[in-house]
Amino acid sequence: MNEPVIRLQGIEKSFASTRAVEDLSFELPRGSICGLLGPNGAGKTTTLRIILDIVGPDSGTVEVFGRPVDHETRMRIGYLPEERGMYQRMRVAEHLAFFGELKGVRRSEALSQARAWLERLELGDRADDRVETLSKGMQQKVQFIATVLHKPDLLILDEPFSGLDPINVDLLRDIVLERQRDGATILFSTHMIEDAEKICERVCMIAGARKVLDGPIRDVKRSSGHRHLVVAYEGDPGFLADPSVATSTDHGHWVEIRLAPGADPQTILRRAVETGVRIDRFELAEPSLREIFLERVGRRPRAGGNGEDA
Amino acid sequence: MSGGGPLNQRVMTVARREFLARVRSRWFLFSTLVVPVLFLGAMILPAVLVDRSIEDPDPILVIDNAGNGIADRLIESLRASEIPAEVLVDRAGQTTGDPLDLDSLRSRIAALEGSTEAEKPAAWLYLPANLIEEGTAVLIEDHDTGPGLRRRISRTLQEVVTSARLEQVGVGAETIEGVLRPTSVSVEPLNAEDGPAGLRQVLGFMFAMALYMMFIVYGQMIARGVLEEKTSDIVEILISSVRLWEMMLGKILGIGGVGLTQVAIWGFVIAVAAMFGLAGAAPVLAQLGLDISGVAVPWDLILWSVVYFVTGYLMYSGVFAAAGALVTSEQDVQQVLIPALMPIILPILVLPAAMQTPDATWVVAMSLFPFFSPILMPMRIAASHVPMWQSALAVVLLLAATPALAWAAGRIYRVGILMKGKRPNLPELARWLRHG
Repeated sequence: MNEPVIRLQGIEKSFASTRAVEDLSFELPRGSICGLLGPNGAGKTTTLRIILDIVGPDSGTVEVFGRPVDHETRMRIGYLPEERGMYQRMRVAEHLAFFGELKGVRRSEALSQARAWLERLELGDRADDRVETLSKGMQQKVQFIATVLHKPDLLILDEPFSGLDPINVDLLRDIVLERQRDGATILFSTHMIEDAEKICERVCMIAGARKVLDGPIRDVKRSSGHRHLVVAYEGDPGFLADPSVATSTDHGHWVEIRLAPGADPQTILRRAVETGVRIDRFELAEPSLREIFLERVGRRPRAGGNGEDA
Repeated sequence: MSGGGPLNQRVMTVARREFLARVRSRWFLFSTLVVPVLFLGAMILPAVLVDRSIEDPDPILVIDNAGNGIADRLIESLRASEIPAEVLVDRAGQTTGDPLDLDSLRSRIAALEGSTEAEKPAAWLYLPANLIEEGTAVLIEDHDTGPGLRRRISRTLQEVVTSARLEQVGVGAETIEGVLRPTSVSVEPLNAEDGPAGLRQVLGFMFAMALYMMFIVYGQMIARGVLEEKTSDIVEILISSVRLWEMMLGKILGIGGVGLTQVAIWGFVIAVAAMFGLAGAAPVLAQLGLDISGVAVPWDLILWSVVYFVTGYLMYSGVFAAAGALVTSEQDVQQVLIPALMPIILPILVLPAAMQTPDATWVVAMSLFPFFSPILMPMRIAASHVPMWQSALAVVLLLAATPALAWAAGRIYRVGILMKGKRPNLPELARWLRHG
């Protein structure tokens, strides 16, 4: 019964001389919300397009809802591509009704749904304007509505939050979570690891076309096996050179420290105080996803250097 | 809900969008309403202008050295045809004074040049003293009076001089009148409903050109529409909802619907014009030498043209969709469209020659060939008597060619629509066709 909604096995895909996806296997349980993480050019978009059968894999199998992707399964999917293409000269509500209708929603129903959604996303007064008169962020919200309007069982979102202000990110995030509560399964890609950490139960990380880890965030963090120390401070960062510090990651206002095996956080605190550093926060924590990610792909991930993000 | 038939709900949804997006545009309003007005205007305006100039023509001044009342009779005859004429100098019968010879007339006219006082005549008609013997008059034109007026003057002169000559040899006035009784030729076309052959030819040319324009305009619309979806990545969302062939078919049907709507509106305008306007336009067209009395609206031609537009469009539209899918920018569209349009341009190139001999073997053969028939067959139907089996065969051949062309176009479209970057060369294109 509870078979995975998405099952990829041994997916390989190359474009000309670039390997976009290498030996990717991945399962997404029903009702889960999963972030597909990785730097630019890691192969995230290609993976999503393979799941949707927009491009075929060179080898490997794809199953969605327990069978190869066909037209009936596509009707149950809502897809938000990274490139937000819209008919610029169409009116907003009609644009939405059109895509809803293509997904099998009756026209009148699609139109009233579209207006309700626009209202909710604070675009109610723009329903009869042409798409071209909307700002980029507004167009992105309209496109998001087109993705969820037909109440799909599976949402596949490619960088859904990029370019939006925090208020709109929250708006969309609430809708995504709401869809999940209604039983939908959600897979979205992002290069903003913090985005994923906020809402995902699961993550799948890929880098350089390969999967580096995959599973529920809880397990991922637990299995990393390290305790981390979060320190917010003002002053000289010299205390970070202490042998108890295995590695440290500067997050701007705070540093995340991975402790050396057997190290006592107390020695670090003492050294910091001795060197005159002012401590605002000092706590033991689970490692952040970013830290785990950097750990797995090496301190200098192969960002961007691996072909196009397509 | 989601049947798989060729006219399923998704195809109709796409078609509906394509249709509405264009029918609501300003372009549609313009081309549907303004183009026919401009077209009619271009046809009628010259006629009206000709009419206007005839309405109030400048007079013709007669210099009469011939006497015998020739000038009076000439003037009377000209006035009967609404051409004002008057005698400027009447030297007939005068024995004294220097007669105004041709040279002094010329210099007097030259002296008039530049003076503004007198209203200028259209021409001076010089009748020499020996007119009856020699039969030669001179018409000095200020401006071109046109072949119609010259013919009339010459014919009148002929009559007047002939009767004067007959009088001289002693034939009685009544006899002369009887001899010079006007004759006329009454023309009877073999097929009365045809109207004059010249008009049918003009009609055939107009219909061929109109169909050609329709194919070009609507073909480009398809190509641009496909390109828009491709470059804006709308296609990315579309294919997560509809099958590629559904996208292509929906677009073709929707845009075709726009064309048919336009044709229907034009047909309605023609019908209304035929009912109320044709009778009114007849005298104007008559001035152009087109006698449209007894000409009915060529409904057979119109109906066949619609049939050829629909079948020709269905056959050829796939090519335009493929052309749009092949390119990545607006500039490239033209480059791809020109070779794609060759089969439509060719019949237009041979059209002037084909019109002269609409039943020559090569014209018949070309008019049956699927790529050329939608343009050449209507021309032939207008200009000649095309047997029913030929016009029907052309439609059958068009329909027969459609699946093959649609198949090839579909393959190119399918690969091209998701392709980014460089336009494929011919060998690559051939590979797409083989492997799709």
